[in-house]
Amino acid sequence: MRIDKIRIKNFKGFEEEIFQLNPLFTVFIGDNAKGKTSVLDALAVAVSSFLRGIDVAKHESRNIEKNEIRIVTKDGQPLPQLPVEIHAFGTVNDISINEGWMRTVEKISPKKTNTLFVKAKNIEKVAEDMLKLSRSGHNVVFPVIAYHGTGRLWAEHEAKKTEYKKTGEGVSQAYLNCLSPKSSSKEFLSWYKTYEDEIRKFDQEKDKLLLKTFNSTVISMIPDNHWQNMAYSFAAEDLTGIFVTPDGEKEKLQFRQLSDGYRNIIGMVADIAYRCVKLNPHLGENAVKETPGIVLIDELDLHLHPNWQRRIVEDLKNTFPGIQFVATTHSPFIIQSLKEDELRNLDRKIVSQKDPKDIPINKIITDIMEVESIKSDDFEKRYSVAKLELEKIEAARPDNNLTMDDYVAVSKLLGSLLEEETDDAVYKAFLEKQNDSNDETN
Amino acid sequence: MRPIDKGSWPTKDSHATRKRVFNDWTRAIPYLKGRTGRYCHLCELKVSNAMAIEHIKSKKYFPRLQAHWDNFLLICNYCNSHKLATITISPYKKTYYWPHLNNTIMAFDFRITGEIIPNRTYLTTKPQIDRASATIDLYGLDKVVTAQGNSDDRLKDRLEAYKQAIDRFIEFSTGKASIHAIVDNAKNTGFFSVWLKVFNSVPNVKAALIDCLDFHLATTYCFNSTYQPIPRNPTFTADPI
Repeated sequence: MRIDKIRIKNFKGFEEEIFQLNPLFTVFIGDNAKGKTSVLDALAVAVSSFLRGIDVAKHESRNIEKNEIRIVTKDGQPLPQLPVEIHAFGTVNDISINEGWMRTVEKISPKKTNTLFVKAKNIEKVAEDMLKLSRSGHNVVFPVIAYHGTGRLWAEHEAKKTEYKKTGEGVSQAYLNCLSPKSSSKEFLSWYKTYEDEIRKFDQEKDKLLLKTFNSTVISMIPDNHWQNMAYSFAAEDLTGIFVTPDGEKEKLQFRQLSDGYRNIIGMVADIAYRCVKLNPHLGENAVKETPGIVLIDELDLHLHPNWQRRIVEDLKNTFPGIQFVATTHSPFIIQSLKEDELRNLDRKIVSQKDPKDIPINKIITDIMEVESIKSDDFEKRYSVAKLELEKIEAARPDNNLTMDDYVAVSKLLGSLLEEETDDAVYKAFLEKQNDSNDETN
Repeated sequence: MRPIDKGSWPTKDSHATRKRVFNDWTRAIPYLKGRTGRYCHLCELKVSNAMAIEHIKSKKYFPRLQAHWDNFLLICNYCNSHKLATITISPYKKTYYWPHLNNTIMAFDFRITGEIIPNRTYLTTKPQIDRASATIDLYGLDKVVTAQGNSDDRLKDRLEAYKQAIDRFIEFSTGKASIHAIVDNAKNTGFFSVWLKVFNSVPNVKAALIDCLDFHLATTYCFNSTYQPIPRNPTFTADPI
C-alpha cells in the first residue's frame, strides 16, 4: 500500500492543499501550528479507508471528526467550511487506484460523525477481496498500518497488566488500535509474552522463526548492539534484555527501566514489526522485510540524541524496506539526513533544490527551518560590495571582452564572496586555499 | 537562457498517432526532462528531482490548457514560486521571450555580477528590450538574495558557476584544463549561458558546449555552422529573435 498524493480540503487548518509523497520516506517540517500533525491525521483518515473493507477491523477506521472541520470566523461567528475532502491517490495490493479514493463531510448533522464513504468504495473493495482470498486459504500480503503520535510514550505509563493474548485472526489483531495516535507497546508485549510461552511449550519451527525475525528486527534498530538477548521475563512481567552501557558494562534491564529514547524506538519498532508478523506470518523470516504498508510518525526525533536522530531515517528505511513512512520533525539533524525529495516544508512553497544532506547544519537551521540569524547572514551586504567591484571591471570593457587579468580579479572577488556561502565543505576548503595563495602572490 | 525544442506532443505507446493525456501534468515531466535536459528552462539551474511544470497560461484562468503540451515548461521551484505571484499577459508569444519559441541566447545576458539582463548586443529596439525585461520580471530571474528569503539560491549558484567557468578559462589558457573537463564541469554546475559567455572567444570549447547533448540546445534553429547564434523566427521581421 502506498499513497502518492493527497489532497486535503477544509480539514483542520488547510483550505486546500495537495501534497506529493515520496514512496519511501516523507518528512514534514514547519513551525508549530502549521499543520504537520494535521497532514498525518488526514493521511490516517485516508489509509483507514482500507480498514473499512476488513470486517474485523472496521471499527478501527478513523473518521473526520466534527472538530476537524475548518472554521472561518466572520463577525464573531464560527462558520464551518464545507465540504471537507480528503482525497488520496495511490496503490493498494499492487492495484493502482488512479481516480483516488475520497472521504468527505458534505453536511453537518447533530450526530457525532458524519463522514461519507461513498467515494472510497474502490479501496474497500480491494480490501474485501484480499480478505476473502486470505480466508479461503491463499497467502495474501496485507499492508501494515500504524500511527505513532506524540502520545506514544505517555500511553505506556497507563498501568495495565500484560494479559495473555487470546488467539485470533491476524488481521483483527494487527489492525487493533493501529490508528490511535496513542498506539502503545501493550499489544506487542502481551503478544510477545503469549508467543514466547507457546514456543517454549510447543516448539513450532515456524513460530520460532517469526519470533526470531521479530527479535532481530528490534535489536537491529538499537545502535551499537546496546540491547541484546531480548526475552520476556515472567517474574518482572516485562520485556528484558541485556543493556550494554557505553563503557561496555552489561546490565540486565527491563523494558520499562530503559530511557525514554530507547523505549520510544523499541516500542515503535516492535509495534510495527509485531503488526508485520501478525499480518503476514506466511512470509516467514521475510515478514518484516517484505510487508508493505504505511506508517505515520509524529515527531520522529522525540527523545532522541542528535547522533541517533541522524541515523533514524536510514535505519527505518533499511529495517522496513517495504513500508512508506510519513513523519514530522523539528530536528535539523533529521532534515540533514534526508534526500532531496523526502522533505516537505509547510512554512513555504519554495522547496529547496538541494539534497538536504549536502547542506551544512547551520544553513539547514537558517535556510530551511527559517530560524533567523543564528549566524548573521550578511550575504546581501557582502554581495552589494562585491557587485560594485564587478561592475567596475565590466564597465572598463564596453565590448564585453574581459582580459585575463580581469578574469583573475573576478575569480578572486567571487571566491571570497562565496567562501562563506558554499554548501560544499570540500569546495569551501578549496576556495580558502585559493584565496590564501592569491594573497601570497600579491 | 538555453533555446530548447520540446518537440511535438508525446503520443501513446499503443497508438503512435494519439496524443498522450496529461490530466496529471506531472506525467509530462519525464518527457520534458528527456527532451530538454535536467536544467530549469528559465534560469538554467541544475535540478535533479524537484522540478515543476510551468503552465505558461495559468491553469486557473485557462483550465482547458492545463493538460496541453504546448502550455508546459519545465522549471525549478524558485522560478515557479515567483511565477505564482504573477500572471502571464496575453498575447504571451509577443509579450515575452520563450526558450522554446525564441533564440533566448540572443535575448538575455548573464552579467558577471550574477544578474540577468536584456542582451543589448542583439536586442536593438525598445520593444525588444521591454520584451526581455517582461520575461525576467515574470519569473523573478533578477531576484537578489535577501537575508529573509535566502533560500532562493539562483543568484548564488549562478555566481558559483561563473567562478568555476572563469577558473577553467584561466586554466585552459595555460593548458591546464581539457575541453572535456570543461564541458563536464559545465554539465555539473548548470547555467549553460554563463559558460558560453566565458568561453565565447574560444571556438573549440564554445562548439563543444553548444554540441553537448546534455544541454539539449535547439541547435538547428538557433546556431549557424560557425556556432554564431541566429534568429529563430526569420520570417517575423518585426522581431526575428
